Amino acid sequence: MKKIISLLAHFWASLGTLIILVTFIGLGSWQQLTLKLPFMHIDPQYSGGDVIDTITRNNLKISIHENVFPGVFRESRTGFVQIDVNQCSCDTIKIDSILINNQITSITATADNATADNFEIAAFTKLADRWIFRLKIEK
Amino acid sequence: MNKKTNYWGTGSIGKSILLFIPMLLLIMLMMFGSANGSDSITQIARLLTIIFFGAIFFLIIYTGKNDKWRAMAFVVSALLFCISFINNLIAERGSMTFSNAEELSCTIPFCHIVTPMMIIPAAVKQTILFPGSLVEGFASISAMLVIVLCSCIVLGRGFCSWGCFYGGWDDGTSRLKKTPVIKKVNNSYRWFSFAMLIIMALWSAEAAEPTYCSWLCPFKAVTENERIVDTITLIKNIIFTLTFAGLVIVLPILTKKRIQCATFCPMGALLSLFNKINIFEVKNNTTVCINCGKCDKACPMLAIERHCPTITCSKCGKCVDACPTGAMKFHIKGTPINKHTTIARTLFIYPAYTFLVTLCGGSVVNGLALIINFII
Repeated sequence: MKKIISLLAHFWASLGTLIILVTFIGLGSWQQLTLKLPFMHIDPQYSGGDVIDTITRNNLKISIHENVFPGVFRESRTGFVQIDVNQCSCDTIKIDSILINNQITSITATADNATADNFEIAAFTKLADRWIFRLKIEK
Repeated sequence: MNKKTNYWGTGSIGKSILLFIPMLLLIMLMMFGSANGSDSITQIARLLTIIFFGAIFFLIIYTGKNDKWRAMAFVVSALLFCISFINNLIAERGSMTFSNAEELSCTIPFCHIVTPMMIIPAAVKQTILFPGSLVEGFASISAMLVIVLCSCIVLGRGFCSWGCFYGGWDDGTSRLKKTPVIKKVNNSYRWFSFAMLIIMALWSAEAAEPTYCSWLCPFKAVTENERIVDTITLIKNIIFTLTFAGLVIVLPILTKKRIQCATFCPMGALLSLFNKINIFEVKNNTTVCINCGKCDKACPMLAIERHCPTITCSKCGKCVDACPTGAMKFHIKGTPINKHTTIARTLFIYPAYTFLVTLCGGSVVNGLALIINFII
């Protein structure tokens, strides 16, 4: 029995190099396999969450993401809604109460009705192909 | 060759060459597959990398010294990885700092140290709490997860001495002085890394951010860090610099121990758990051991307790080299301790070295190419 265990142990140990080679050579395929794992999604806190609506207005494609209230054990009381707007050659982009200055990469938002009394930008950034901004929301 | 102090070298050029040729072929296979660029400087860098890694492996086999040569490859890999990584960042985004843009577009490179902080969110919320890319780009999450899993299976915590592209930093600094200034470091400090693992996993889940990366990681100082835009980011950067200076530079120099890896790294603690199921271990043959304590003194990971390696052993081989009687050896679990010991060592060194070359080879080529470009 000891001899068999010893033989099996040596066999398993000798597979080490092969496992490493197979892992690195087939890395692309293994990566695709890991995507099938149930937890392989970037947390909405970083990705912005799923897009729930897309509006096209004045040549602008506006993608509105789901409400996100960050947290692992429990959701926080404050969260955000991420909005993506494709880049245009215009100086300013105006979407309702949100004014994006395309030249100096700044963004302002003002509440224009009674239900939105705390209209605040949580984060914004200008990428090569789009603007991303996040509006603060509260539960 | 002095038989009294060397138990593991083949001592024969012929045997060494026989063991060396397959590794040389593997190194060449990995080098031509991993590094991009076909310009003459990259080709020269690639050739130098093949010669460097090949020579180190030959010396490990021929001289029987595990740690001395391993460390040389490991430290060079860590330094060149950082040079290559920073250059990559500067080429891609113009700076080694990241801003809102990288976070919101989820393009932050993923590193293995994030893994412990992923566990609770992955289990509870089925999401990954990191602003990186799942598949695309440099150091994607899926690629690093596959590599970490592979290292867990094949090397266990051996990853910390044979693969981790950060570990080379404090492995290097812990060798700068011949004798330690602080002579006695309590081995039980190694359990602090397990406390770090638990604290970081819970804190990250509660704060909903990878807190070790956001607040503590010493290696942020030599890779990428958050752009200083306010007091919080300034404090974070001060902490990164202090932890790097203290845990990776000053304490390893003073103690000759890998303080960051042994006591602070949560990933190291997580990998220690995989040592339990890993087929390779470093074991003391107590019938030959003379209880001289040289292994204990030599171990940079504070992993030896009463002359026996514990689960935090990173299989660097320093104790094996230090042992005057050959009692300390690489061992395959389930096999007799006093038989086939050279085979066990070779069977461990082969995958471990292949892992190091494959993971860091591309960065070494890129780093060398940058240095050559800089010089000429």
